[in-house]
Amino acid sequence: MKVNMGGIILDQALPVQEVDKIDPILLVHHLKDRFPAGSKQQDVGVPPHPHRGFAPVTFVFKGGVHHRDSMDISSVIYEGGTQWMHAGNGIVHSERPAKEIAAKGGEWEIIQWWVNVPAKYKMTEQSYKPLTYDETPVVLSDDKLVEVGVVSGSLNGVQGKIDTYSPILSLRMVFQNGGKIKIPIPKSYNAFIYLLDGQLTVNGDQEAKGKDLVWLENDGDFINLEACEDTRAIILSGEPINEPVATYGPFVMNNQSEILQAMRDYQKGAMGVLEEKFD
Amino acid sequence: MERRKFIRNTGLGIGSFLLMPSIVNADILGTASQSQIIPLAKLSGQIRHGALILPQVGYKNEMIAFDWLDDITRNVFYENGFKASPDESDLEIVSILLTDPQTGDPESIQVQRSKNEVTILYEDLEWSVKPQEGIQLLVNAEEEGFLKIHFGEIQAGKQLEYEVDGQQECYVHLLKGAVTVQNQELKSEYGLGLTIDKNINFEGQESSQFLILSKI
Repeated sequence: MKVNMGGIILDQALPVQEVDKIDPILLVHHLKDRFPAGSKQQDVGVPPHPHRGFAPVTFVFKGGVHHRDSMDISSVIYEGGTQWMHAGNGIVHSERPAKEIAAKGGEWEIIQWWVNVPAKYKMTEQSYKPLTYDETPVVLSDDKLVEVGVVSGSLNGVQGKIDTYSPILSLRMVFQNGGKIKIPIPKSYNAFIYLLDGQLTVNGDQEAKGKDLVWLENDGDFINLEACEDTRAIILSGEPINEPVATYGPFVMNNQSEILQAMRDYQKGAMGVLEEKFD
Repeated sequence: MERRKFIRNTGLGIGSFLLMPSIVNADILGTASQSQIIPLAKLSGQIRHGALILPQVGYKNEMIAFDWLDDITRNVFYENGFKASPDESDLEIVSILLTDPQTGDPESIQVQRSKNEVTILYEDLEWSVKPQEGIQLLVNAEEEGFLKIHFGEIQAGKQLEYEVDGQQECYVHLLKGAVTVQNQELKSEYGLGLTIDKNINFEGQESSQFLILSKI
């Protein structure tokens, strides 16, 4: 589903009409863009905005994302890497294409997804964890045609490097045509697959194509995937938090009073202020 | 009989930040009152991942004449995360940024409307406003701070009067509906600043709710 995020048109796989969230995952945005040469970094991307109460996570597939925030962190992650931010009690950040991509022109493709955190962790200190492609542990399928980056959680004994406030298994997958892989997922986890492109057969009988989100039932503890063509996909899954959720705009709290407090705190500068510095 | 001269800008409407407000001097039997129409920025719709644009402390909307009132911003947050709901279940929040003129400290008022229920957050105090016709006092500056906050509700064809004690600077913000304030028609795209030393008259054009902020 296309949505307009302040002038940026992107694909929103979650929430949609029928599904508001897949606890603990609240949102999936898939953005592909191309910048003409000569763009100024400060004129493109997403300008400073706040978050509180959850973790926005960015998987970078093409280009590079320059993250700046009110903790004075300035970090660029390129293709294959991940930016995992815990907003905690509040952070202001911006997300723009890397300077050289803006200047020389080029493609930018990211998936940003939001994972909720339990109430007792929503007002903890903020954090930002960048992970390059090389730093991401990898699992290969037996046929060597599927490469799985383990970002958080554990797959076949390989542990992701991101620690989370609740159990989350997040995987980035690149399939060559014909590649097959079995992915164990705890039965209690809510889980889904999102395809950036290509086509997969799921459990031998369900076809999924690019921009499909396949929400898996909690009736088993593994899935089998086979690529019908070269495919890129992600699996996001986690133990449901089962708490009330008030998710409005950039804030994810437990009730509407807390949303009002977040608005107040942001406006008064309690979440920090981001003054972007551009070369 | 009052004489009033209104200078109304044509084409005032949504997104009219570029238009200048009108400042009116009304000479009424030797007293001096001023009113300022303040065009408000368009109500901004926020999807689930909104790049929320909300001015922070230190920002001053230069079109607002009062030194204690810095900015008014309106956002509506879609409950379903991607588009406006047909049943008024979305969360509309008016954010009013203030500066305490005595201390210089920033303050804010957040006013939330959802399904016709109104909740107001001012500093650490929160009210769920019970709908009732009339003007209710929520915050009394005599106890703390520099501001009085009243909430008003009026039906079409009815009149209300807000008592003013001495000369006061007041800001009237319409949350819903349409009212005439001191013979000035007010709709939700505008706020109204008044420097006034006599009671303020409200006449409902529709079922309406409004806030009155008064600096003492």
